[in-house]
Formats: sequence, C-alpha cells, structure tokens
Amino acid sequence: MSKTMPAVDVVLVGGGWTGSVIGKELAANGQRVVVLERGQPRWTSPDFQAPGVRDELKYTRRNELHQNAATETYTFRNRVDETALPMRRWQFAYPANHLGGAGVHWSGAYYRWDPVEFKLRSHYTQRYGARIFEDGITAQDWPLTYDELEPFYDRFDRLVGASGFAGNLKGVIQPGGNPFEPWRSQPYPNPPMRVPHAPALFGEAAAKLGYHPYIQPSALSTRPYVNSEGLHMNECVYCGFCSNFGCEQFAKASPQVCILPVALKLPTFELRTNAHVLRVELDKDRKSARGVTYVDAAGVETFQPAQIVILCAFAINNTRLLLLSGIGRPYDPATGEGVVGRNYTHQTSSGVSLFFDESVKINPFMAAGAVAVTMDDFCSDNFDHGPLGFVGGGYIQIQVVSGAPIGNRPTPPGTPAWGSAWKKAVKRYYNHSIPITITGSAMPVRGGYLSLDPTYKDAWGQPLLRITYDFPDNDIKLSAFLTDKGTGIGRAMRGITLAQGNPRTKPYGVNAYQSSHINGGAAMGADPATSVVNRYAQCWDVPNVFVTGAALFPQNSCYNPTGTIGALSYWTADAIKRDYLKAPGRLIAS
Amino acid sequence: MKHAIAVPALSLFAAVAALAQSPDFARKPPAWQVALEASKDVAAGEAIATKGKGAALACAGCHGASGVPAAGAPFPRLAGLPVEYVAKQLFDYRDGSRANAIMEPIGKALTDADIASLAWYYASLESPPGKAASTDHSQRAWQLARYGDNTLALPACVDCHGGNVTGGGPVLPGLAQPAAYTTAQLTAFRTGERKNDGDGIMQAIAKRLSDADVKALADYYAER
Amino acid sequence: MGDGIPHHRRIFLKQVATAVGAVPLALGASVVAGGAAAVVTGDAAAAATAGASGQDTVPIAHAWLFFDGNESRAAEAAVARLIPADDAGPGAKEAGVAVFIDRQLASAWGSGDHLYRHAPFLAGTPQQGYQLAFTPAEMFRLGFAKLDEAARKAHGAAFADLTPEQQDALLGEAEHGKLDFGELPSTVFFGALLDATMEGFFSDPIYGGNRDKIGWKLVGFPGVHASYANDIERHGVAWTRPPASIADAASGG
Repeated sequence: MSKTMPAVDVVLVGGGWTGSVIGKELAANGQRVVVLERGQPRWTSPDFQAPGVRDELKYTRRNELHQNAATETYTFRNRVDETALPMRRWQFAYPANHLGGAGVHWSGAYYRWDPVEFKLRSHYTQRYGARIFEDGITAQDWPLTYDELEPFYDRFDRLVGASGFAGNLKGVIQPGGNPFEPWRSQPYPNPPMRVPHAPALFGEAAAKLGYHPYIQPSALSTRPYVNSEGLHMNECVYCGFCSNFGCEQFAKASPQVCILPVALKLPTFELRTNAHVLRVELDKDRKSARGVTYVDAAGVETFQPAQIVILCAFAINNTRLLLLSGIGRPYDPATGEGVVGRNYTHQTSSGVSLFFDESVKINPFMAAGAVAVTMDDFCSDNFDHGPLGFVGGGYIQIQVVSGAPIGNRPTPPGTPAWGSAWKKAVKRYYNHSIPITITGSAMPVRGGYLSLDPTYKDAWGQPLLRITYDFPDNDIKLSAFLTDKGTGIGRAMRGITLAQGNPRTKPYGVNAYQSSHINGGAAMGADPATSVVNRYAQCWDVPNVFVTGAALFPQNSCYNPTGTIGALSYWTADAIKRDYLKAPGRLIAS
Repeated sequence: MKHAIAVPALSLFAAVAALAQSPDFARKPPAWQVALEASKDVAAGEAIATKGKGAALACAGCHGASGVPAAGAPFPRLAGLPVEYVAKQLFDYRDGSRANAIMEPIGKALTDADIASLAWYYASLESPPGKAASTDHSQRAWQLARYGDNTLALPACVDCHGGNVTGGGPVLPGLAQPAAYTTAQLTAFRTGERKNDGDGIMQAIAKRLSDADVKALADYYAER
Repeated sequence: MGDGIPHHRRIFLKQVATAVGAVPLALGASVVAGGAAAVVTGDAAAAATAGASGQDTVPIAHAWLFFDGNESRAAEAAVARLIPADDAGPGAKEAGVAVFIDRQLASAWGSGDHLYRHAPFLAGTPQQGYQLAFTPAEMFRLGFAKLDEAARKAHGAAFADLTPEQQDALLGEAEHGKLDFGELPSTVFFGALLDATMEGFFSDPIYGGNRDKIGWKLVGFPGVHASYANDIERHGVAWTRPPASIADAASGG
C-alpha cells in the first residue's frame, strides 16, 4: 500500500533547528513548505514540565529524547580492514529524535567559530608551512569567511536570545570579555550567565596564571526576553536537568520555544510528525530530485513531491540520506575518489578530575548545560603552534552541568567501585569534586569516513550508516597539550587537594561518551572534487537538494556547533530566496 | 562596518594582554544573607513580632499570633516561609523594590539585625499543614499551576515554587496563601509595583496572565 | 535451530535443571521484612505516612514482577554488598534497589527495547562496545543463576546464604572475570549489576529504589525542587532543605 501527497514547493527532512529555521523562512517568503519529522511532537508545556522532566533515569539513562538505537543506530570500526559492528546501545553520542531534535536536549553552549576555522588549511599553511599538517589529514578551507557569515550569526543570536558579554565589538576589544572573540556587530541580546562557585575558582586561578577567562556564552536566556520572532523566553533557573532534557522554563533555546509557534501560524507551513523519511527520490537522469519517500505513522509508504528538498536530519544522518538516495559520489578511502562520506569528525574531549577539601562546596546540582567560566587562550590559532607540531586548539573551562547522582558521583582515583569504601568516598566527595572540561578540535583523516554498512540494517530495512575512524596523532598531541595546561590550572585553584588530567588516547571508541558533535560526510567547499555541496549548501550533483547542519563541516573546530549551524541555516535560506528561486534547478553562481 | 582582524598573532597577543582584564568572578553575598549569618536572636524577633518596635507595628496584629492570619484576612501567612525569603522581603520593603503602603514604613523602621531576628523567629514557628488536596478547583488553575501554558510561554508554577507550603527554595516561597494576597501580588508584579523578582521573571509572567487566570490561581492556592 | 528457543536460553534452561538443589520458587508474593506498611508507589499518602512515621527504613510488602524466589534473594544479597548499610547510613537493600532492578527488568527496557538486537552478533574490539545478544532481562536471569552456581561450588550454599566476606570475594571475582558464567562474561554481568545498583540507589523513588531518598541523602542531592537561580551565586552556602521526589512534588509537598 502506498500513497502520494499533494505537491509542495519545499520539503524539509527533519523538524530540528535547521528544518524549523529554513522552513519558516521559506514559508514566510510564500513557498508552500512541509517539514517531515520522524518523531513525535513534544512541547514545553505539558511535555517538559517539572517534576516529571527532572528525572535522570528517564532522560539520561533511558534516552527518552534520543534516537532509539534499537530501530536505527550506526556501525563502527577503527579501520577499513576491520568489520564494522553496530552500536547496540548509545554510549559515544546522543543522536536526537522527536520534534525539535537535538535542539531540545542540547546543552545550550553557544559559540561563533573563529575566523581561522573557515580558512583552516590556508591559514596554518601560511603561518607555519604545509608540514604542520600531519600526513593523512584532509582538513580544508570553507568556501566562505567569518565576515560573510557574521550577519547570520547575529540573526541567530537574536532568535535564541544568546547570553554573554561581547569581547570584541566591531573590532574593539571590550574589557571584561573574551579578548579572543571574533568581532561582532552587536552585543549579545542578554547578559551573561551567573557564575557558580567552582567556575569562579577556576577563573581566579586562570587569571592568576595569566590566561583570559570569561563567562561562556549560552543559548539559555538569562532574563525574560522576546526574541526576533516575537516569542517569549524566560530565564534559566539553573535546575541542573538541562543536557538530555527538555527545558521546562522556555529558557533553553529550542525550535519549539523560538520559532515553531510562529511557523505553525503561517498558512504556507505544514508540520507532519511521525513521518520517517527513507530517501530522496531522483529523476531518471539523477540530476534532479522529485521529492522524498517517507513512512507515515501507520506505516504507509508515502511520496511527497516537492521542487526543493532540504536535508535537516541530525548531523551525520544527512550524509546517510545522501548515500541512501544516490546523491553524489560516495567516498572511497582506498582511491581517495568521491566525496559523500568524506571527512568524518567528532570532538576531541578530555578532562581534569579535581578534588577539593571540604571547605569548598561545589553544589553540582545548581547547574545548567552552559554555565561555565572558560578560556580561549588555546583555541584556534590563538597561540604559537610552531614548536608544538599540531594544528587546532581547545577551550578549557569548568562547567557545572549536573549533580544528578546516577551519573555524577565522583571519587578519587584508586577508590573501589563498590562497597563501604566507595560509599565513604562518594559521600566525602560528591559536593567537593568537579572536572575541568576540555573541548578540542577534530581533524579529518583520509581513512576516516562515513559509508553504508554492507550487513546491518535499520527497522525499515535500510543499511545503517557506518563510521570508520581513528584519531590522527595530531589530535592526541593536541589533547595532551591542552590537558596538561588544564591540570596546571587545576593545581592552582584554592582548596584543591588533587588534580588529575585524563587526556584523550587512541584508539577512538564508541564505548564511552565524548560529545554529541558528530560531523561530516557532506563537506561544504569550493571544489566538487573535495566537497559535496557548494557555499550555499547546494548539492553539486543535484542542485535542488540542499544539506544543512554538522554534516557540512569539513573538520570540526574546538567550539560547539549550533551557533554556526544556525548561522548557516539563515545563510542558506537567504541564498534560496535571493538566488535559487530566480533560477530554480541550477547551481547558484558563486 | 565590517573588517577582519588580520594582525600577526604575536602582536595580537600583546594587544590582547594590554587591553584585556579578566572579569571578577567572585560574587558578593546579598545583604539579607549577611544579616542572617551575623545574628540569630529568635527572642528579639519574637519581641518585635508581638510588641512592635517604634514605627514597626507588631507583626502578629496582621499576620497572626503563630504566623498564620485569621481566616479571611488578606495578609499572608509567615509561618512555613523560608527564613531567607522573609529576610529578603523585609530588606526589599525597606529599599522600595517591593512596594506596599503598610510594609514600607515597617521595613524602614527595622535595622538589619531586627530583620534577621524576625526572620529567624518566624522560621522557628510551626509550619501550617497543607490542606487536603481539594478537587474543587478550576481546570485552568490546575493547568497553570501544574503544566503551564504553551501559547503564553508560561512554565508551571510548581517548577519553581515547589511545595505549596514548603516552597521550592530559600527565596521561592510556597504559594499556599489567602486569595486576596495572591491576587494583590500578581497584580503588583504585572504593573511593576513589585519588582524584587531578580531579573523580572514574575513581572514578565504576570503580564501574560489574564484577570481570569489571576483569579483562578488565587482561588486555587487559597485551597492548598 | 529447529526448536525455536534462542541458543543462550536453552543453555540457561539446561543449567537450571542441573543446578544442585535448585528448586525455583514460583513467582509470587515475597515479603522483605515483617510487618505491614506502606506500599512502594509514588502515591502521596504513602509518602506522607513514611515521612510522618520518622522511620528511615519502612518495611515494605510487595510482589516481584520479574524475579523468582532464588533471583530475588540473590539480588537483594548482592546489592546489599555493593552498597552496604554501614556507618555512612543505610544501603542498597534498605533503599529497595532490588525492587528497582526487578521493575526495570520487567519493563520494556528489560526486554531490550533500546538495544539493537539484529544479527550477526560478532566479537568486537573493546572500542566497539557491547556486542552480546542478551537483553538486560536475559542477562540478569542468567547472571544470578550463575552467581548462585558459583556460590554453591565454592561454599555449598546459595549466594544469599554466604557470609558477607564470602559474598564480597565472589563479587570481586565476578568483577575481574574470574568466574565462569559460560557465554556471559562475568565482568559484563557484574558491570550491568553495578550500573543497575547505582541507578536503583540514586534514581527517583518513583521507580521503586532510593526509598526514603536514602541515596540522595547520602550525597546531599536535593531532588526535583531545583530552581537555583537565586542560590547559585551564593558561593559556599550549603543547601540544607530535605530532598524532594517526583511524588512529593506531584502531591503538593
């Protein structure tokens, strides 16, 4: 049994940030838009209200808002000569499901990328010589600059109610802010987050050592705010049920809070939930998309015809859709030919465990996804890489994310994992321990890529996405360097009794959580030989298909992705309105 | 105006070091916290509460002998409120961030130590029991109190205010109070006459409540 | 396999049949400790009763949903060693952790509703994570049976009937892979058991564990009344309010 829906102008696959922003922009521009969200509708009220939402077991341990690994997961191997096996349960990352996608359960850490990130290959080559790049690293420049994207970052700031203190306004460094911040045309719409005790101690120690700590920007509104769509946001209450949870307060920016209520009032905008897209359907010449096929709530295979298809699924799931649909040439690591699936990256995270004497009360339960004092002294190219022999950087911070004790019950190294000794230690240290968090950039490698698995399938019978990847030595050296710096700051903090650094080591594995920032496979670039989409996120091979989100990243910076993803969404929407619609079916001229 | 900063990194660092100064991350404790930590004289608080002090009328006259006012009186119970909340309100009456014709002169007549004593006194009183959960309430009130309102971007009252009597935190009081009092507070937040709510969250929320919402909530919490 | 019973389940059935002295009790009511008392639910009356009585460990009467009599005894004994009652306060048994595990194993999660269970099941590298076919329910069923078997082999009695020192020693052997549980590495079972114990000790009491908020009180976690905007910058101030659970909040308390 199958059916065909009435044709629309634009079909968007996925009801998360990019689908909501671009869908609304195009609908407001008069296009007939349908957003297909595979999951269920979820709204702040009633679905994310306390006390039910403040449930660590349900949301973190039982993956309430995450993609269900049982029906669709990834397979993984380190090298091409291994057999990839399925991730039978989530450990390494939390792909999203349901309306709002990862934009609901994210942490709200909110950054712009440094200008250097967009010219990564050429900048480092120019400053340090080509040999700074380890052989096998396939990092490359973006086909656009920070300056071009700045107005779009600004637009997304105003949508999400970004909270922070501008460190660089129109090129003038502002005392009290982040002196390494790229220039911005306007201040943040909301003041910075509050500062809990542990981040304050971190900031104090970092400043004493000559670094430049500042309050991390966030997309958690710090006061009542009316956003650029006229929607109300309330203030973050630092409840500590943020990452992995929906926000009860309308404070954490999400598609539901920031844009969907306005989109849903447009007669040209339609949202369909429980609509699981299987693939993009192409014309016989395979140069044009006709629409998408999806499975509806009852299981009926349904064709949605459209003039434009925009892939807005979670991160690398967009790359999978390209592969399943036969769009673009799949990358082959043996030959280096092809582009779809190339340049997979994650986030090179590490930490320093800190233990304090009992005078220091951490109160880890007073927390939020993005409440931190952080520093960019070792981000991007803010420091001299010459003697170090690696590219990239990372931020070092103390963030207070959650005190929920199933996951947060630190004990010093050597403590038994159970028994009375464990119990004594967890009682002693629960309120007197917190890690320094280190978030580093991730470089792509020739052998690190995404492809369709030859063996394992999802519940709809389609091949799973296979991740083949291991760290380059570059990123391991970076992690060791950053962790060492972090350990030095930890040792300088008041009340410290132990600071132990835990740098990232090889091999890369999927058996421990690192970050949900999984990227790549649909690189945005200037050259079809090394990219899947052009600078407007338009597929070189199929010009009426656009790709959004972290799949576009040719490599990952040290900064969290959502700010850049939001900016690129507005950038793409503008390009469609301004250029594509004037000559539909054709590549937009650069 | 847009321009990239194309400055060689070394001199950028020097420029940064010269201009940048780290913000101060230490945070001063609020005045009410300092006062509460400085003294805990419950007996002095009882004296003021029962006999008054200068322009400060005896609290018990309105708020009741055991911190629970007479039935039907529009004054809030003080018994069962967090010590921090009581102290903060008296400070706020004193500096005008919470406006009230009766309480302002009282606040102004009290020293920091008086305020601390009163707060500690009221915290020592027995907390009133919550009433048996009444099923006689409007659907609207129950929705707002327990689930909020998506179209108005209102979180549920319970998210912050927690227990009806015990509250959700040191300065998040339980909302079980006489209807006239709740109505007066929501109205005062709505007009901005009461503006001691941190970054203005209650003012923003109250502005999105209709008169019918306010009445429904006031009646609801009067029965908790 | 013609008989339709999954491979590992046939192994389990065979082992139960041959286990020395094993006579599985019927699933049914099992009283933890004498006396009638509050039922383990999230209902307000129970919460109020438990609080008002002032007791830290209210005896409960309940029925096991998943465990049979042998398994429930093994589970209670094991969790009582993983988080013992001691000077620092009550432990996992008092907190109802075995009840929590029982309910979880009887739930959709226990049947593997979030586990990718398509074949082929191949041995992988540690980096590739869990690759066995066991659902949590299957794993715990087999694991507790094997634990009892190991106890009988070493000391001639079920795990629950050993001394605490003997139990600790066996658990340590399981933890380090020194016990032979057949197709289920004992390290994997031990890891799952420890995870479930921590979940049961620290999750909201609505799930059957963390009774009387024993786990939250041990560490000082406040639970669901969690709006800290006015408190987070009061550096160094301790949080002294008693913890609140989902049931507390739902009942207006």
